[in-house]
Amino acid sequence: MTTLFRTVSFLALVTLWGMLVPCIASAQDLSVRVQPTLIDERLDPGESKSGQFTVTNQSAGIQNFSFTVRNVASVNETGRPVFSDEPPIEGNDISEWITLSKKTVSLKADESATIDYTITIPEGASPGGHVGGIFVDRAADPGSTIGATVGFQVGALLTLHVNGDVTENLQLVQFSSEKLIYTTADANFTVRVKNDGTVIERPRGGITLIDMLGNEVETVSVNTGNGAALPKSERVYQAKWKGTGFHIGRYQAIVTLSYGLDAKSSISREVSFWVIPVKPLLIVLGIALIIALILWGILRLSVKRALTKAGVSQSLRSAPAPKTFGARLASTAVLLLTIMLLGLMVIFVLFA
Amino acid sequence: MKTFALASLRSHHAIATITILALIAWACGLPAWINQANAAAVENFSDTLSDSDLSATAQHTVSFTVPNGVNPAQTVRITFDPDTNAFTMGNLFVSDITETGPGATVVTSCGVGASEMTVATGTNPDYVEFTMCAGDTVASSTALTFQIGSTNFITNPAAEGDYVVRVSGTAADSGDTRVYIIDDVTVSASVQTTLSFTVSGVIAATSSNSDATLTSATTTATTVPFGTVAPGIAETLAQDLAVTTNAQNGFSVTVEADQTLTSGNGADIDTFINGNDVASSTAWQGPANTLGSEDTYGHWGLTSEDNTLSDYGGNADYFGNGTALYVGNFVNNPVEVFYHDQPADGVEPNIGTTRVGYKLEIDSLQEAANDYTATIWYVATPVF
Repeated sequence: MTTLFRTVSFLALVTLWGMLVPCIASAQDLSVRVQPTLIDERLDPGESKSGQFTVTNQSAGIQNFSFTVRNVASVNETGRPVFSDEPPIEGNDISEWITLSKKTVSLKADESATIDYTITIPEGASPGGHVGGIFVDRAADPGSTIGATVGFQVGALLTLHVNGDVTENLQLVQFSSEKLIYTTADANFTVRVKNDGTVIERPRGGITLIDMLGNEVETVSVNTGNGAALPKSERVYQAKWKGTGFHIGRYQAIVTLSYGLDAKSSISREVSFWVIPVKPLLIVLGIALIIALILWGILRLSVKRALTKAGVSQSLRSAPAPKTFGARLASTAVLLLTIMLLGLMVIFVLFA
Repeated sequence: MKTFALASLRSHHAIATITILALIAWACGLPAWINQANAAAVENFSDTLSDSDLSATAQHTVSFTVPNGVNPAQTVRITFDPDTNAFTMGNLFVSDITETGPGATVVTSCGVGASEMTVATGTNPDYVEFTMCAGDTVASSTALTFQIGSTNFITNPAAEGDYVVRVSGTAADSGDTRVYIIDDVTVSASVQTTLSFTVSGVIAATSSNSDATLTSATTTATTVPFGTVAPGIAETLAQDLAVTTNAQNGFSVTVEADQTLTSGNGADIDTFINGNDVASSTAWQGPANTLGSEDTYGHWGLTSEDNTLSDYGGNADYFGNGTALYVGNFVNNPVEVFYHDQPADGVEPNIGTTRVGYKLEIDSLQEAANDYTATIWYVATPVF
């Protein structure tokens, strides 16, 4: 009895521990929410403007957070910022333009804090776009064992436009289709723009698809998320066309983007591609080939029967029978359909 | 007779061949090739609108260069949306149209100037037409800039899309450009996006990015504890990351270490591979353990399960598919380990959640110490 009790107790403890370990692990999750995470302002040199952001501790237990402002050193072509603690250009240190009402805050679980920020544009700030980030930092705990301690920063991106004499110059440097030949109406496009101006641009527009008869098939949107192309950088946007219904032949895709701080300029470029629906065509041509072969066979049989009826001797019948127009057409059709089928199979293998 | 029969059969064969080839050519888009017109084209053609919003009234600044110039009495017509006539000229008057550059002068009646043009408007489709005055010309390769709209303006179409603006007329040069009419987004002081970032520990004996070596210990949200490491045995640890955001363009998470694993006595465990800060994702290999080359006594690297990364030249599955690949270039250098280009739910793998793996291996020459440490920083932001 005692042994049984001990065994059951042990099993219960093991089970309980097995249930608790994941709970313990998840209870130790670190989580924070920041709102807003995109701040966009347009100011004059010498002007100030204030705003707020909210930090929420979504972790269990009290967490200490600090706040910093950092410059953006560069941005990759998908809009991901690379931050720097160094000012990019003297007099344009965005980290010095931002003041925060608090440097640190301690929050209980699910508690929020509102932090005021003030943006002050220096008189000598260069006109155009400036970017940076306001960060909520959760520092790593001190550790002493072999391994790494972990901290994190969650950032709100700042895009500031300083009014003044600016240059707007956005170029479409690339517009391409992923493939030249698609086997279904499912095309992917890449649009790359280069911003040689001083303004943060958010080009938006669409890609118009035109079939080989000149009919507009569809327009797909580009950059519905309002992604930015920063000054002196390139930005890539992806777009996708998924056509409904039957599509075949050569298509022209024309991308047109509208951009500009106030006045709107448009830039446009085009590319062509093919849609060759191999599978349906293989089926159709296969059926056509079978029909052509049957017709050819029937015609040959009818010619042979006609010759037999006419009493033409075997020796003469063995000579090539005169071909009728139908027979010629059938044999030519068989040949060309076979070539087309082989071609489609090659396309299918290469491009499907 | 026989010759005639043979010739007839051959012609039938030819007809059959041509018929089928024609069908093939049509199916392959021959009309599109034929439809391409061959005309002298205007150059640097653009139309800048003061407002591209739906149904807004806008001033158009239409610019183009005429390689062949404009001769006396020739016309240059600018047509707005020749296909569907969606623009509306409304009450646009001649007085609302000017040529702002030195290329020509818009006049109500011809005078003594050298490059004068009169202007008229028309509808269905809506156009503005300039007629060169008798005896006047615009020289070859001249840039013309017409400002259309001053007191009265052209009204934009009500439907979003791209619309053709066409230069035509009796002058030699013609061409099309396009403008995009779009529903403007009201840009407020701050777009109320939110981003939640969560770091979680991963228990021992768990897979990380399909690495055959399961995690050797349990991590927490704040520690990646390799503990005591035996020579020649690779140790793997992992953490889970989750992002919830409504940012339309998504987010990115990078990781970097402030130093390689360094002990108080100055010894360190270098970066993968053999201290070379490998940036090109590579299958795991043990340290070379070459006597005299301290960098080869041990190393550590990282991997990620996310297969939709943005930072690697189009190779979204940079850290391997079915087999874990590692990099070592994350000391004082942010390495993207998590990315999505749209809003995320914090749950779906490769969209709202991913796992980051850290692997370490030392060999017999690695200096003994019990305090090899570093600090790892995750940085989570939306993208621009």
